[in-house]
Amino acid sequence: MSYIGNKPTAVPLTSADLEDNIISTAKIQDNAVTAAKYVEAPSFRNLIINGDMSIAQRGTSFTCSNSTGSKYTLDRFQYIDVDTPDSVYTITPSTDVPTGQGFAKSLKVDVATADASLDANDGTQIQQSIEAQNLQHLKIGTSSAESLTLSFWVKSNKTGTYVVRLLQPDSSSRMVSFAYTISSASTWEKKTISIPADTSGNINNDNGSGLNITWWLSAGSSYTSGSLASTWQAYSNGDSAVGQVNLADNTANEWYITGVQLEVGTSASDFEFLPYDVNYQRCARYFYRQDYNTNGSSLPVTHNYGTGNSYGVIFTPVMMRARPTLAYSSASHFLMLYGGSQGAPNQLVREGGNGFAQEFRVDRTGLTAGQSAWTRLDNASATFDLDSEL
Amino acid sequence: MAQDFERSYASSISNASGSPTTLVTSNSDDAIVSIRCVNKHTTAVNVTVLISSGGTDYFVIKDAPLPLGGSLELIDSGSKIVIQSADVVKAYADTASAVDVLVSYVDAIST
Repeated sequence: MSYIGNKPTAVPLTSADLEDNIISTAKIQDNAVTAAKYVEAPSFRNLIINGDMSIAQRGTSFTCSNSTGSKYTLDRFQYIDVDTPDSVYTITPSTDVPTGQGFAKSLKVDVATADASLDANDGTQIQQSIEAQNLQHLKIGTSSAESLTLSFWVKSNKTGTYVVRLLQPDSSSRMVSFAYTISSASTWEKKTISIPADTSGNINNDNGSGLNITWWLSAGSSYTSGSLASTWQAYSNGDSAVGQVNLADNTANEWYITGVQLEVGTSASDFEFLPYDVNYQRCARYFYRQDYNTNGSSLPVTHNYGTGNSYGVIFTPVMMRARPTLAYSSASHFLMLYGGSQGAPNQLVREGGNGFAQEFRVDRTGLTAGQSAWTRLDNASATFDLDSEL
Repeated sequence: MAQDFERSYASSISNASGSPTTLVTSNSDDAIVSIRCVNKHTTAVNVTVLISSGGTDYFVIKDAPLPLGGSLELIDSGSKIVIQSADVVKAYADTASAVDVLVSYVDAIST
């Protein structure tokens, strides 16, 4: 059969017309596809920070229970107690990663103390909260709102249904939840979840929490009694985690996650690996730790304002999200050197400052006003933390 | 022996699928060597050609698009379609007075 004269207009092929993997790379001539004919995945498309779990400033092992409460573990990933679960988890950075995907680290949750019989209101979660002003391009609450795709690698010996929930704190905790299935025990599986655009929600344009991504580990009946919120809806406890298995029901259980990516669009692109320093700086906006680092490290030189206090400024690697809080391991882990003398300070106190410059004060008696002092981290356990997490 | 080339031209074929235009009614074993459908309308149209044989319709082509100014040759690359006695070649379009069909065939090819 052949057309003569005018021919029918060619109908462009769509992805639905092509069998998966029908065209191999070898069948495409070198340089045949030019930039005009493909869409390059945009840089910084991953709304998740530290999705490859490569940054863990706070330590290498975190005991998480209702006595310790919710806490940040690997950078930007928070363990959350819901009510008072009896389970105890040990969360660590792990080198157990999916083969051939380029990841070096994962976040591992190991059940240290089981809670086989959950109280109705008990639950445990891993969560990342995303800063609201980084989400304005999602156009949430408008007719132009963007669809999202969440992808991640996960592994657990406990197979079954798990739930991940997205929640908008600025919109009365409007939420949507998705079930994913761990099909094969102790086998890395990639999960991809399509999240519909939300034309009715709201994310403020500020430095607060705009979107919480929550992976349930266990959920009492108060969170599983309804129908899973598969489309954006008003907050409902019962619709949050329907079907969620209880990871905490046995101390043999463990759960791993890495390669977390949340991006605009209806399909998951390859994970966006960032250089270590870039990844670190993104984390440092929310948490900055100075530690002993083998041979000790130093705080900036301070100026003795009076005889009992000395003031200085720390310039953080990046502008912090908000005015940070200061925490440190112990005053005895620090050594203050001043006027030919030395000794541990009485305390360290955060003063004013914002953005890059964090003012702090070191207190110790016997200082001479007008002189300078130098304080160093002088113990292998010494830590000096500035925290502006969401 | 000499071949008995025949032709059947139909102008402005039917636009009713229930009563298509008859192009050829075979009285022996014939070989169709060309079916040319021509759009003479002012817009694109669709054309269907079929062979009725023993009470069953066999489509040669169904709802093929014919762009404005275009024509379609259904017998291509030296191929042929053989029809037998009482087989009927028919055609219709989706638009009235829009398509001409030109059929060429060899009559009584086996004699």
